[in-house]
Amino acid sequence: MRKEVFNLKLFLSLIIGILGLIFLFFNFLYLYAPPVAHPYTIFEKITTAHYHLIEKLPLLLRVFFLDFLEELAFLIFLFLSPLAIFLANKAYESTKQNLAIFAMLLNIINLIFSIFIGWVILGLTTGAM
Amino acid sequence: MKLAEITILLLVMPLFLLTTITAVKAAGEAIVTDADSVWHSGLFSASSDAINSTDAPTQNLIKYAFVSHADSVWNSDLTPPSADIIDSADTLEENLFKYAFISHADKVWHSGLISPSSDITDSTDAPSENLITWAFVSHADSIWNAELKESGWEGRQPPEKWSFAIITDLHIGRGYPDYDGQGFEDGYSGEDYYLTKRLKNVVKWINDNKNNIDCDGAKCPIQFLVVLGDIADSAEKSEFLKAKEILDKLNDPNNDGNTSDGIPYVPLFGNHDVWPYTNSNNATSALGERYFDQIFWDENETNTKLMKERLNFQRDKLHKNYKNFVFNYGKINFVGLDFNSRKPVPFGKGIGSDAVAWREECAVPVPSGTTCPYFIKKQEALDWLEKKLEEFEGEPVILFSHHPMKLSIAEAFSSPELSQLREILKNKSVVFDFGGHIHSFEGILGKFPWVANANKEYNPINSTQVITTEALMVGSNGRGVEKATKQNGVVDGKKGIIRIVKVFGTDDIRPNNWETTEKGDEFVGLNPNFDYYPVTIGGSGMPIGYRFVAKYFTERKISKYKWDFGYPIGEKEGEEVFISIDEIQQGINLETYEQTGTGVKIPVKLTLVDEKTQEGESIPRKEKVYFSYAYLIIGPSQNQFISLRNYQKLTVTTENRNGVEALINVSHSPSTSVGIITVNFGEAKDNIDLSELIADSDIEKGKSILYMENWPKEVERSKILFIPKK
Repeated sequence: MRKEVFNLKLFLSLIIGILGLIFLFFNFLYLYAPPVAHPYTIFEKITTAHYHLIEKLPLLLRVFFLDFLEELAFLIFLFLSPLAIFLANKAYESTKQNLAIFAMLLNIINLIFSIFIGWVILGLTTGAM
Repeated sequence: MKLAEITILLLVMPLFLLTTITAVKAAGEAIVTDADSVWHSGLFSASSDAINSTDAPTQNLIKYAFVSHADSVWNSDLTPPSADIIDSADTLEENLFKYAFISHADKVWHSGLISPSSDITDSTDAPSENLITWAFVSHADSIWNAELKESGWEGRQPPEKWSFAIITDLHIGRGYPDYDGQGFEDGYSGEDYYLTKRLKNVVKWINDNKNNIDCDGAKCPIQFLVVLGDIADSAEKSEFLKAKEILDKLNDPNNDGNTSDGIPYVPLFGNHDVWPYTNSNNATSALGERYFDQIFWDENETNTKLMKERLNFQRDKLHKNYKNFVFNYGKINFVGLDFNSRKPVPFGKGIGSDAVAWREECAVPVPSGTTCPYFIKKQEALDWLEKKLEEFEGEPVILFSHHPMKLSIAEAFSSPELSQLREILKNKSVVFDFGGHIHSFEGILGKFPWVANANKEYNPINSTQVITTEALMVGSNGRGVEKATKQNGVVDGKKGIIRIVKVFGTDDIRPNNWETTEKGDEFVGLNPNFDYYPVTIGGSGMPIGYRFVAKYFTERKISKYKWDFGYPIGEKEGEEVFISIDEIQQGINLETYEQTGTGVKIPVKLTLVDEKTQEGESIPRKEKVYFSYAYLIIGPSQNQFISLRNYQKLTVTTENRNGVEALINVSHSPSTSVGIITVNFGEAKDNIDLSELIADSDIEKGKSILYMENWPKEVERSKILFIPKK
C-alpha cells in the first residue's frame, strides 16, 4: 500500500478552487443583487448582511474584500483558476486521484464563471447603461 | 514551495498595489514670488528651484495660482477670507468676489485658485486665464465674470405641503443608429417614436396632475421636476433638442407664453450625455458638455429664468464643464452632482458607465509626449458637495446624482470613493441621494431579469437614504412587478416611473409615491425595435428580399405586430415579415422610395400593441436595402419556383452576380428539390424569363424533370438534377 503523503499542489489547487467559488459567488451576487436598504430576495438578504459585516472593517480591508475580492474576483480567478487546474493535473498521479479530478472540475467551473462575470461587467461598463 | 510562494504572491499582490496607490498623496506647495507671470503653479514642493525673492512679503505661499502682472499677491489660497483679514484702504469695501477674472490689479488679496476652463472668454486686456476666487481686489482695470457673494434670496413662498417629481434615463434616440440626420452635430428634426411619446405622456401627466397630488387629505402640488440624467442616448445634439422641446411644455403647459401655471425642470448630466457618437461617427472629445450647456442652460431662457426665480438655481461656474449645481426650495437645499467620467471607453463608443469621484490630472499643461512633472487630484463634484454642505450646515439637504451612491465598480462607486463620500456626509443633514443610471436594458443583460425594477432603496450612506427610480426608457414593461412593496412603485402589475417626493415639512419627506400609487396610471413599456436581414437564394449571398424581425424589451404580452412599409407595400402583420425586392421595385417605379446610390431607403414602422391595454408603441426608421435590376421570372405553374421560402416570383441581386446557384423546388406535398441551375445575372440585360420551365418530381416513380426548350443564355449549360429514391 502506497504511503499517504501531503500533496501541496493538490492542496493549493483545492484551496484556490474553494476560495474562488466563494469569491466568485459574491462577485456575481454583488452585481446581480447589490445590498439594499430593504432586502426582498434571498440574494439581496445575503449581500446586505454581508455588506453590513464588511462595512465594520477598516478601509483597507474593506477595499480588499469589496473591490478586489468581490468586485474584481473574476479577474483574479481568470488567472488563478488555470494555474489551479495545472496544479491539480500535476497532482493527478498521486494517490488522491479522485480529489485531483474534483479540484480540476471545481477550477474549470470557476474559470467559466469568471469568464461569464467578465462578460457581464463588460456589458455593463461599455455604455449600455 | 516555489509554486506556493508564487500563488501567495499573486493573492497578496493586489492588496500591496492598492496600499501603495493609496499611500501616494499629492502634497506640496509652491513658493513663487516677484514673477511677471506665474501660471499653473500647482502643488510643487518648495524645492531648490523655487524662486525666493527678498522683495516678496514673507510666506508667499501660492497654491494653483494663475497670476500675471499683479504687483502683489498675498496669501492666496482656497479659503475664503476670514474676519481677521486686514482691509486696506485701497480695497473696495469688502468687495469679496467669487469667480473673478482680474487683470492689471494693483493688489489682489486672498485669491483662491481655480484652474481655468476652456470656455471662459478672455479679454485682450486680461492676462490669459487669471481666474481667481475669493479675491479682495483693488484698483483693478478690469474684472470679468465676477459674481458677488449671494445675498439673501427669498424666492416664492412655498405651500405648506408640496412635492417634486423625479424622472430619469430618458435615452432619447435609443433605437436609432443615427438620430435625426447624419452625424451628431444635427438639428431639430429628431424622429418621434415611442420614447418621445412616452416622455410627452409623462409631461402631460405632470401638467394634468401637478395640482392634485394628495398629502393626507391636503393638496401638495408638484413644484418642479428633476431629470436625473441620460437625457440623450448618444449625446447627439438632436437628442437633447428633442428632449428639451418636450420638457419645455412643463414651463408653459398651455403654450400661451404664460409661465405662471408652469413649473421648472432641472436637468442633470448623465454618462450618456457626455460623448456624442452615431453608428458611423465618434466624437473626439466630450462635446456633450457643450451641447448640454447650450441647450439646457444658456439658450433655455424660460426654464433657466424659472429655475433662478423660483429655485435660486446656481451652477458651479468655476468648473463649467462639470454640471454641479445647487438650488433651494421650501427651506430645503438641493445639490446636483456630476460624477460622470470624461474618458472614452476602450471598446465601443461613448464613455464608461462607472462613477468617477476623483481623477489624477497633470498639474501643468505639457506638450504631448512629455512626461507630466506632477499630478494633482481633481474632484470637482466632491469639492462642490463639501463646500455646499458647509454652507448649509444644519439645514436639510437633498442630493441628486446620476450615479447613485452605491457600491459597484462597474456601474457606480468603488469602495474608497464611497468611503470618502461617507466622510463628507458624516454628521451632515443630508436626507436623500436620488440617483438614476441603474436600470435594465435590452442588450446582453436584457436576456436576464437584471435590475428587474429600478425603484429601489440601496444601503444608506450614514443617514442618507440612497434611492433610484425606474428609467423612462424601460417604462412599465412587466418586469419586477410580481410583488408590490412600499419601495418599488408597483400597483396591480403596473410599475411607476415618475417618483413623487412629498414634502410635509423639512423633517417629514416621503419619497415613495408614483403615478401608479397616486392615480393608478402607468406608462406602458413595450420598447419595440427590429432587425432585418437579406433573404438569399441557396446561400449564394443574393438577396431576393428582406426579412424583418420584431424585437422588444418587455415582458408584457404583445397582441399585434404591425408593420408599415409605406406605399406601395403598405401594411403587414406578424412578428416576422418578408418583403421582396419586387415589392421594393414597385416603390422605386412609383417614386415613393428614395434611391441612394446602389440601394434604396424604405420607410419601416413597427408598432407593437399591448394585449392588456391595447396601447401601441412604434418605432419608425428608414432602412437601406440593396439590390440590382435583373429578375429571374419563374412561373406561371404553381409547382415551379425557386427558393427558400416558396416565393413565386423572385428578384436577385448581388455584387457578385455571376455563377449564382439557384435551387429549384416543387411546392406540391411533399415539397421537393428538383435540381440546381447556375445563373449569370451579370450577363443579363433584362429579366431572365423562366416561365417556360418545366420542373417536377415524382417520388413514387423515382423520376424528376428539369426541362426548358430554350434555356436563357444567362443559365449555364451544366445543371444538377435530383433523382428521388423509390
